[in-house]
Amino acid sequence: MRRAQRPPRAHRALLRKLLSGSVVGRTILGDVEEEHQARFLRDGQRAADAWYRSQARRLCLRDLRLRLTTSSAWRRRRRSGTPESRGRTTLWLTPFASLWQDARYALRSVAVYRGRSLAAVAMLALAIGIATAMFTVADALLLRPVPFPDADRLARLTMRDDRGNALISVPPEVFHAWRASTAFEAVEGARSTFAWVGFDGGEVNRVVARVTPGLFAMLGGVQPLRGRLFGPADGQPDRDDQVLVSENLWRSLYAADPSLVGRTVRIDDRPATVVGILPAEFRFPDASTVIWRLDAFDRPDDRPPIVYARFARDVPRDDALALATAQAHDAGAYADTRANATPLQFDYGDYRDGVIQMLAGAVLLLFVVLCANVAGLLLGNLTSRVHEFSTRTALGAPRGRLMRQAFLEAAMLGAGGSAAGAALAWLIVSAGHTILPPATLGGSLNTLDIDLRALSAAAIAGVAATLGAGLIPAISGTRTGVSRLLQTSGHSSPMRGARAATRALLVCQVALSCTLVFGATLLVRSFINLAGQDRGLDVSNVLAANVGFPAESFTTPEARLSAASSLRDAARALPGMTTLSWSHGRPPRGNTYGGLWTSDAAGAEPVDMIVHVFGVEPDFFDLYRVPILRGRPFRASDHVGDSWWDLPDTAVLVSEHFASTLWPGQDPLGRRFTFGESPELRVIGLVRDLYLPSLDDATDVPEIYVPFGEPGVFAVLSMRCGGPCPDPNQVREQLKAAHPGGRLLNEVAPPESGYLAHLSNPRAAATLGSSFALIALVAAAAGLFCLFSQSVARRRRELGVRTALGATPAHLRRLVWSEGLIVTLLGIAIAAIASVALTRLLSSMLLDVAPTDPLSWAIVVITLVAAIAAAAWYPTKTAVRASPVALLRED
Amino acid sequence: MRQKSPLGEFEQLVLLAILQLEKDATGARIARELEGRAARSASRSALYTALDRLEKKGFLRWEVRAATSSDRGGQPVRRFAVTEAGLEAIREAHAAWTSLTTGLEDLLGRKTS
Repeated sequence: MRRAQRPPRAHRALLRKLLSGSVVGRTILGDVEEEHQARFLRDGQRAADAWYRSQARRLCLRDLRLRLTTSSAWRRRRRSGTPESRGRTTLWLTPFASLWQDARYALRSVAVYRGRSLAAVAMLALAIGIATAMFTVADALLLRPVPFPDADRLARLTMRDDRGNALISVPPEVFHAWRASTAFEAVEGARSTFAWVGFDGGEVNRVVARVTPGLFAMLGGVQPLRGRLFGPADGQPDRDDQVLVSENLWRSLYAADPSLVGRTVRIDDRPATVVGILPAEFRFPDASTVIWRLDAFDRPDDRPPIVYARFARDVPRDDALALATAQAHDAGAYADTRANATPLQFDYGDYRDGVIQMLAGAVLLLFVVLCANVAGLLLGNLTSRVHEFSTRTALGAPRGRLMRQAFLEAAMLGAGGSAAGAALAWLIVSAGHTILPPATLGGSLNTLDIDLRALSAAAIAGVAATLGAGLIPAISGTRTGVSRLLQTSGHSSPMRGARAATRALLVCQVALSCTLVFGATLLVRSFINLAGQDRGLDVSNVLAANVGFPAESFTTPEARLSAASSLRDAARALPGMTTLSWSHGRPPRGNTYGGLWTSDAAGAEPVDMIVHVFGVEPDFFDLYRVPILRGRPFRASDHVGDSWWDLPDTAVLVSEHFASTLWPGQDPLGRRFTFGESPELRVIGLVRDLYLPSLDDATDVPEIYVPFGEPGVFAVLSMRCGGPCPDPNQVREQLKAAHPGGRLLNEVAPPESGYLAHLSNPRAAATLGSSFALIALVAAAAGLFCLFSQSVARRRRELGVRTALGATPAHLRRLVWSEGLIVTLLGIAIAAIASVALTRLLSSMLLDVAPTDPLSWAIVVITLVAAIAAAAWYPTKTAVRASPVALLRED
Repeated sequence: MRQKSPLGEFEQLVLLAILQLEKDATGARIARELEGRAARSASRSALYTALDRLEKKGFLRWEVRAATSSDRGGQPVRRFAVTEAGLEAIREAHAAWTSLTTGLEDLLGRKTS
């Protein structure tokens, strides 16, 4: 059997390369192969191959000529709009048929430079992911209104006095008067507390809201997942044992059991019937509320509700509030108070808002750094890409086609980066609840959903940067004459302008990351200062339990005292307990008394201030290590069985802050003072101030300490342990067993948790700021690494000559470093200027750290130098190790 | 109105070869026909250029068929056919030829015989 003879391999491959792109080309390939076979049989292999080679050469030239002329003719025809009636029949298909080919080419190009492409995609993903996540958080916390229809008509109602102070709560009579009023469309009440929620495996402490039945109708748009909401018939005195459960609790505690609706659960050891399950998106009155329980707020011993109202459409707000004020006065409110409405968005305070704004700014900087890095990476091998494009132009590739290929290549990177960025944003936002502390995040009534606007904006900006950087080589390559390129050596770049642009990008990157590192350093140092700040007491190895003495179980003070005593005995029996003390108020917060404090000094003006009042047993000061500076602690004889408010001449200890306010420059011992209409109190001792770890001195208020008396409905048992404390759960079980009829209101926990809320925002700011700075630093280091690598690659020949002429490795290292050093120094100089503005912005978040703080700057400089050293390490090694002979031979 | 394109000599030969080959006019066969019958050994580049030109003038059309023999390395084959316009052009050329050769039979016949 005759065996087909293959034509000469190289020429065949060349022909295939050129012609196999089109059907016509392939028929020509077939024709010459057929002829080669015929000639092989007729004239022998040598003659057939010679013929094939000569034909291949001519056909190649013809094809190149054709590509140039046909495509330009095709473009001309396209411009003039003449229909393509004749000529190459496949021509009109070219743009579409070649699109797939171009896409494959772009994919191959991405694969060839895969390290760089992967790095670019990763950076882009990081930029888009972080920016989207951050703006999602900022949107949920700062920008978006509360998630209820007509949210601007919803408000929280308070009574304020003439000095603008909000009263702690609205009296129940006023609340009921407002509910009956026509000033508002609806007035409802809600109050969150912690409660123990029972399930099969035990019980957990969760936020439970007591609400009036109409609350959900007033907010609007609330649909239960299962069951029903509270109806008008609910809330009758005999039907207040009904609860709604959140989807989160339903899933986590009750394994999404569909039969939960209608079943009974135990809340604070009392049975309650579940009537419905609310979706996880419903968060009210607090983000962490998981159970809603009916309450008419008509029992006198209940804590009064927070009052929420929906303004009527047709009643002006001022009129509604004036009417509400008049009704409040009729219901017995103080004459110097008036109704006040605040928007329903949770009031987070300036610090939290400042943090979010600051972090959003940092993310913007980080975004710019990362995009610059993506651009820098793509411009990294600009010279070789420009060579590639100009050579292809010279071979006849149409400019549009090359631009399209470059566009597709950049678009692929952009699309990859955007997709990965969206995934990353989703991951970050999903993990947001663990990354961000409840104090930063939890207060929001909005749920965290990926903000599509932010995602699109970030993706568009990222893709634009990628396209910009990806098209530059194509633009300049198709413009630069090939002759000019061929005149220059492959190792020296003709693209001085582009190199300058790359360097300028790097200077910006270094400057931005330096600014971020500086800002993060200030925040971290500030947080360290804050956390280590003197608090005026020692809470290490202390546990505290909030204990309830419900009026229905403990009817007399004696019963409560006896229960408190047996609880103390139970606690003392626990291993390692050394000191125990009952108190009202749990450090750092006592009971808050705001009003007029008047000293016994002659002609003294009353001072309007808020004071934390602690009712304490004698051992309290020893337990919390609060030093008594002057005078004496309480004695058993100071202790009275009733409230300090009703008894004359109660002995008190006051803090330095309180003493210096009421008796500036005088000895407070033995002095007397009153609070509002109270009987006189007598100062028997002076103790140190307690401080909150806060940036705002105004959060620190004076303290006074009165004798404990009796527990009332609620008191705190503090326990100091000789060493590390026993397991809080074990302590809780022990106390619970010793307290029949009573309740432990919260988890037994160290008082340290009282400080965490104050520290969580600064900690979040420091953590996130540092993370962003670290990412920016790594990005800048990657940019510098590219710069060093390119510099070494470009100067290989020069380095080879220098090595051959006897340059030492140290000398070569200096050469490589010098370029990066200029970039870095310029960046630091710009950052130093930017830092002045930055510290002004950050000033409200800094504690005991000056913008010119040498330690912070030292940290920044050392970090940057380390980053540069890391970036320069490998390229320098390559430069020093390269053999001069091999380098010189390369050309 | 489209200007009538004159047929070059090589183009006339290519058209005639296609007419001779009838339905078997592939690139390779045309080349062989030209070589065998007219003793014209044209390069493939010249042949395809002529074919493209004839197609642009509207004298040719072609269709692509799948490969029929293993000699072609699995590549498809292009079959050419002369269009009506092509046939008209070759008739005109032939008429001009005949008219111009009338009376020169002895001279031409001696040379060709």
